Amino acid sequence: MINSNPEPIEILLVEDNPGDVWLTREALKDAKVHNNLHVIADGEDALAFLRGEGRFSGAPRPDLLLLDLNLPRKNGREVLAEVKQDADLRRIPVVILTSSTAEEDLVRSYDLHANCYVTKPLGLDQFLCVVKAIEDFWLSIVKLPPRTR
Amino acid sequence: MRGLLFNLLEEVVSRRWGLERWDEALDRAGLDGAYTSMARYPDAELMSLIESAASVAGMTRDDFLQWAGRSSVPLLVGRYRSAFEAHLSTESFLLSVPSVVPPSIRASFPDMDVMFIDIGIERADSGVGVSGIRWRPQLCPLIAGFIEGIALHYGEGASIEHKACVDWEDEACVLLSTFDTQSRLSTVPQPSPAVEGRVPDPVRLLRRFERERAARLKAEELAAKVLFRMYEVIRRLDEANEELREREARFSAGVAATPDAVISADGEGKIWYYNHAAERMFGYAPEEARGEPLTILMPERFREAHLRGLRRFLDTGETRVIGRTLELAGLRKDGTEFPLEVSLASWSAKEGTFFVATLRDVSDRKRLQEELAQHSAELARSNAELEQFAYVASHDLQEPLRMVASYVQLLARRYEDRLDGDALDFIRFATEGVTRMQGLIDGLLAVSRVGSGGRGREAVDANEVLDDALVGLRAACKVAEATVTRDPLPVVVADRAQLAQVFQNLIGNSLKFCGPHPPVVHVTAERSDGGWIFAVRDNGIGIDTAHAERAFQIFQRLHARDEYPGTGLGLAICKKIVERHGGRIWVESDAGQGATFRFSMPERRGGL
Repeated sequence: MINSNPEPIEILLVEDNPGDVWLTREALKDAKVHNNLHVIADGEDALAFLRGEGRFSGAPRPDLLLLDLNLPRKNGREVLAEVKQDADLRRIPVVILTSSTAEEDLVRSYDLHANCYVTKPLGLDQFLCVVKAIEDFWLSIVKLPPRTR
Repeated sequence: MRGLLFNLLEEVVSRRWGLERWDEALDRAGLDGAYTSMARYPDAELMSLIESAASVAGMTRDDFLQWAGRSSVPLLVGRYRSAFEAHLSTESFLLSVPSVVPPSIRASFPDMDVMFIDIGIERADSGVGVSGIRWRPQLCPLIAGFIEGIALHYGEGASIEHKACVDWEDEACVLLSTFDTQSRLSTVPQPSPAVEGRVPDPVRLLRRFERERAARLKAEELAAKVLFRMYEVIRRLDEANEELREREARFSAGVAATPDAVISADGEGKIWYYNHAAERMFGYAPEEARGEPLTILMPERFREAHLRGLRRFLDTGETRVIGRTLELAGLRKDGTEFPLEVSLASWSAKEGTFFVATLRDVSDRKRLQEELAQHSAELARSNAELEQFAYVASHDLQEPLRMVASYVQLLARRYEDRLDGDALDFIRFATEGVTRMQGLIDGLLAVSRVGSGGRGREAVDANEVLDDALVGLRAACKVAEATVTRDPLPVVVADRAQLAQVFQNLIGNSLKFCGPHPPVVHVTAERSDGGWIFAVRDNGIGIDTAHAERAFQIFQRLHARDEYPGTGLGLAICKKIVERHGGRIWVESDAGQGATFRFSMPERRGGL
C-alpha cells in the first residue's frame, strides 16, 4: 500500500445510473486505498454535498469527485463549472466519468477545467479496469491537495 | 457647256435628296436656311471659307450665310423653268429678290425690286457683265419677262408689268449702257422719258459699282468656293452617313436579335428605341412603346423614384443607377409583374441626354434562387438534425448498451457454475450483439463526421499521410505479417485526417481479406487529367466485380460475419471522403487475384 494515511479517502460519485453505481462500487471494493464512496444521484444535491449545505451539513469534504455528465436537475457540466469557479472547491480533482464519446462533451469538460475525462468502456472487465486505473492514479500516485474544511 | 455651279448643285441635290431634277428638289424642299444649317457641320475649311467670304462681302458671318442661303430660295419659280432651262446650257443663274440681297449691294440699287446674282461663272469671256449682275445680252428679253413674272409672283398688282419693265429697263438701261462701252449695245433700250428724272447718273453709278466690284467679285468667288466646299462636306457626310446607316443597320439587327431587351429613352424619359426582346418581355409592340414614357414599363411603386432619379441626374449628373446592374420589377402590358435585372448607361449628344437600358427577365433565376435558399435551409436543418443524431448516438445510446453488456457479463461471471452451456452461449450472443451494435454506432458516427469535417483542406504530402495511416495499422500489420510498400507519392490538397482514414481503411481491408498468404500491399499514385489517381493494390482474395459497387454502400458486406468480421462501413467512409474531395473511388479485381482500389483526387479544391 503506497498511501499509508490511516484516514480513509473520501470519494464522491455523482451518478444517477444505479447500474454504474453498482459497478463502480464493485470496482472500488478491492481498492488498495481505504476509501469512503458517497453516491449522489443529481447535480443539485452534489453541490449541496460538496458545500455541506442543508441535509448534507457535516458531510465530509471529498478528496476526489467522480462526475457523470448526464444528471437530473443540474447536469454534470453545470456542476463542474460551479465547482471550478468556487475558490473553496476548485482544488478537488474532478474526474468526468461518462458514457459520452462525443467530442464536444470532451472538449467542453476540459474547457471547464475537468482534471480528466474518462469514457466508460463497454465491457464489464474493461469498466472495472478503468475504475481501478482511476483509483490507482488518483488515490495512490497523485498527491492530493490538503483538505481545507 | 453647263455651268460648273449648276452641275455641282445638281449633283448635290440629287445626292442629298435623292432627286434627279435639281430644280424639282429646290421647288419641293427649298434651300431656305440650308447654308445656315451648313454652319453646324464642323468642317474647319468650310467655316474659314465662310468667314473670309463674309468679311470680303462686308457682312457678319450670319448675314452672309443667310444671304447665301436665301439667295437661292426663289430660284426658278415653276412656270419659268422651261424657258430658263433652255439657256442653262451656257450659264447658270441664281436669282435673288432684293430683300435678300446683301445690304451693301442693295444700297446701290434703291429702286430695284428684282435682281440676278450669278456667282461662280467664268466671267472673262462672257462678254457682258457688271459687278455681279451679268447676263448675255441676247438673254435680256427672256430675263425681262422672267423678272416680270417674278414681280407678278410677288404680287405687285396690275401695274407690275409696266413697273417691272420700267424699273427693269431703267436700271438695266443704265447698267447696260455702261456695258456699252465695251460691248455691242445696239439693242439696249433707251431710258423712257417717263422715268427720266429718276434715272441715276450712269457714270456715278458705274463708279460706285467699280468701287464695290473687286470686293464683290471676291465675295462671289468665295461664295462659289463655299458651295464647292459644301458639296465636299455633304459628299463626305453622305458617305459617312451611308457607312453609319450600314453600321446602324448591322447594329440594330444585332440589338434586335439579342435575347436581352434593349430600350433607349431620351432625356425626358420617353422611349425611342425598343427591340423585339423588349416586345416579348413587356407585351408592347415597338410602335406602341415608342414615344411613351418609360414609366409604363414599371410598377406604380417604382415610378416616383424613377422620375426623381431622372430629374436629379439631368440636373446634377448625380446618379445611383447609371453604370450599375439593378434588380427591379417590370410591368407587362397585361398588368402582370416580373422580376428583371437592368443595366443602365447614358450618353450626351447635341440633342440632349439619352439612356439605354439592357433588361433581362430573371423570373427563372429568382425562382431558382428561392428554391436554392429553401433547399439550403432544409439542408441546414437536416444537418442540424444529423448533428443532434450524432450526439445522441455517441452519448445516450452508449449507456443502455453498456448496461446490457456489463450486466450480462456479470451474470455470466457470477452465476457461471449455475448456468448450463446453452445459457452461456446465449449470454455470449447477447454480448456480441451489443459489441456489434456499438461498432455500428461508431461507424455511423464516423460516416456522419466525414460530412461535417473536411474543412481543414491544405496541401499535404501523401507520403506523410500514408505514414500516419500505417501508425494506426502497425499492430494489424504485425499480426498479419504484412508488407506495405509504396512508390513516391505526390502532394495533394486534402483533409489530412480524412485522407489518412482512406489509406487506413483500404490497407486495413487488404490485411483483412488476405487469403492464405501474408498480405503484400503496394501504394502508388499516377497523374491523371487534373489531379492524381491513387492505387492500393494487394494480393488478397480479391473482390467479385459484380459486387464491387455494393462494397461501397453503407452496411453492405460481401462476406459472412464469422468469415470476415466488420461493420460494412470502411469502404462507405472511403467513398464519402473521396467524393467530398471531388474525386471518385472504384475497385479493379478478379476474384482470387487480389484487388486494386483506386481513387482520384482532383488538383483543384473540388467538392464542398
